[in-house]
Amino acid sequence: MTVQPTPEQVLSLAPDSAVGAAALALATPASWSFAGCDDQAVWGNYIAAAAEPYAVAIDLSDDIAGPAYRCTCPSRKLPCKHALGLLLLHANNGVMHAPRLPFAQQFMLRRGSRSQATDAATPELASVTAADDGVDSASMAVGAADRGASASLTGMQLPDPARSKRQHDRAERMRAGLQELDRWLADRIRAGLAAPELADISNWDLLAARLVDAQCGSLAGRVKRVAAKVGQHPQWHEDVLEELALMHVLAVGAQHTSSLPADLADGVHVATGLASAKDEVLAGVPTTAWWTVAGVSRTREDRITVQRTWLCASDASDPSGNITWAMLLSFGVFGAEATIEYNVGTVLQADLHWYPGGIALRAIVGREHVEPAPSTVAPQSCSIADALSACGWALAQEPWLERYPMSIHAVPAPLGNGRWALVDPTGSVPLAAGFAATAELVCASGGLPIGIVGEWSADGFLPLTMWADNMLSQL
Amino acid sequence: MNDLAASAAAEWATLLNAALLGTDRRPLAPASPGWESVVVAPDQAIELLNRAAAVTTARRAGVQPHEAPMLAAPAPLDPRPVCSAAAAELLVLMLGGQHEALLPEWIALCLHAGLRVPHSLIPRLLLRGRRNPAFDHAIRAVIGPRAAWLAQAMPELAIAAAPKPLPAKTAPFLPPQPPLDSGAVVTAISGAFAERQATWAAAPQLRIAVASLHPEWLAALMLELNRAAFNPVTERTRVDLLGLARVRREMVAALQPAVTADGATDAGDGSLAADARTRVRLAP
Repeated sequence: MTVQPTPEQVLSLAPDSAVGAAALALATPASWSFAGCDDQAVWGNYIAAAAEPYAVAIDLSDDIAGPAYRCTCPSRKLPCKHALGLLLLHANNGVMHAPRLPFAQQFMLRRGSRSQATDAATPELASVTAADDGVDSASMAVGAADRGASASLTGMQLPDPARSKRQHDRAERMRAGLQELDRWLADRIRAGLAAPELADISNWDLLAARLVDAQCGSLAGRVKRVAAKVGQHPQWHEDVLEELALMHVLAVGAQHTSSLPADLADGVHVATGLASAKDEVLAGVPTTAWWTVAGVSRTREDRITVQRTWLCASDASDPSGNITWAMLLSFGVFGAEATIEYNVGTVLQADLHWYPGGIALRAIVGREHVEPAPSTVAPQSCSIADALSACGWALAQEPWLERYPMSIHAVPAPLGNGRWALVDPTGSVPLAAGFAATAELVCASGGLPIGIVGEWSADGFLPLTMWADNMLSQL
Repeated sequence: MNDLAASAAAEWATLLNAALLGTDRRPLAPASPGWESVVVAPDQAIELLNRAAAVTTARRAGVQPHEAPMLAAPAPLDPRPVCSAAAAELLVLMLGGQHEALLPEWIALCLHAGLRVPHSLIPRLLLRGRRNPAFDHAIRAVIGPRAAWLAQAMPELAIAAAPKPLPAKTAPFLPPQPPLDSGAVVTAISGAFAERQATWAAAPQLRIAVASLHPEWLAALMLELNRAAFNPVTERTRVDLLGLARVRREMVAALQPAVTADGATDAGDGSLAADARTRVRLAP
């Protein structure tokens, strides 16, 4: 019979403080169904935001090696927040003795048989891990090898060979595509930006098509956006050189992600087109706050409409007035508009789960604690200098970032030649050249500051929403 | 510009010059102090891309506010309250081309209620007024002094500070005169559907008839239109008129406080009171 752990002992097992904090929130009976325990194990089904509950089982029989965990969530943390949460509930005497559930029984049986065959299994696992670590491309497979190894250690099934092969094939295709992109970029620099090949859109389209074939969808989209900059204005060479250089960084970085810090590697993966699965994101530690839906921007890429919904949360108790931003990404295909889940101006209290990356920006909404309700109050704003500073920090983390949100309180002012800027006491930021609603912005302001939320990009600031006349207007 | 920004600008100019002609034609110059690569790539094109990426990141991440340009003088204050969001939404709907027949009444009701349009809609209204002098005359009254301010602040819009005099014989932009007997008009419209005369070609005249009805009769009209039997010849007109009547009811409720039987005002939900009165009148 094992000794029941204390909550302090359980929390000391957390791989990081975030998991520990999240586990505390899950250590309530309401989060679990069919939770039970006996002298050797604890188990239960965590009621997740995903369609299926996560089956969690913990083996407490090994006093020397410590607990072993099994959870069907896709988290790469070990133990995950669900396992820790259940263990915390057990430590707080919140789990009743009960007959083992089938998955818990199976897990314990496998643990028992595995302990007898450890000597035979370990070299095989070690060889798999070593082989994966030796190839950079394998790390592109969203840490699949890591997850497989972790899963094996916790008694779950070994990685599916067919799945591993698919991931390896994809990584190889991506690597070939990235190498081709980098060769193409170098060729353009050798020939010069003034060479006529650069103005030939078919060259860009061909490259984008090859990147699509290589499953580097995000990079393909970026190539097309850069192609649109060619000849756009007299200084287009500068814009194109900047973008070519950043694509070079991505192409090289994506081939060496195993030598990058984990967050940066995740950011590179996303920028090249390797998105995380939704379930995996939902398994991460959420941020719970009151979120204001501050703006929506849409761009058209071929037959796809990309819609970004910007959410912001501000902590009134924070003297620095920092604003936390989140971006919900949705897509509309074949000319259809993307679904609008949250109207601009609504406020909701919800859990936001973050996609991995160098900066926490893209997110999905998990549990909604308070239903969205309309509000005409402008979100918290900051000075232009502070907003640009926050933008600069984000760009320092992920230089390939194409847009970053800003919430400011400013006055439009003319720059000349039909260009306008937004001004506050700390300076000004020019409006993006393609912004079509300058007159509406100027008229609503009437020469006085108004609340504006928009996106910073290399082309300038693109206003999305303004608050004037006690009502919000989408621009 | 500080030293770092000047150094980045100089390095960027070097890189851009080499990139414009191509490293095959113009060898890459050595990096400016502080911008040297940690590991120099043997291929000049790759080296240029590496250095350009570093400068681009530095320039973007170090973005600073620009100098503030001169601000225009603030617009004169308009003491009138702004119309409700619902009324503004209906105006946007009409400006988008739906139920434009109600635009004159919207303007008249807004003026009568002592309200003004939201400032964000003013450019759209003024630009529409450029090609319709009668509309321009009418709308400027509800826009107020912000129109002249905008014309001065944004000369690129080519908007006149004051409306031009109306050409002779130009009809003013006013809502149609209400009929003496709105009930008879409702009966006539209903009869047009029964006799299959409410074709799409006849829709413009029917729209004017609906736009001129006394608002209290709109519910009765909607009831009659909903009762009308389906007919492929008149269906399109029926749906259009139903929409027009619905929007007009909403517009009247949004822009004009309704007066109930006991004399109290009911600005928020006047349509319900109108419903009740209409039902009483229609009862045999």
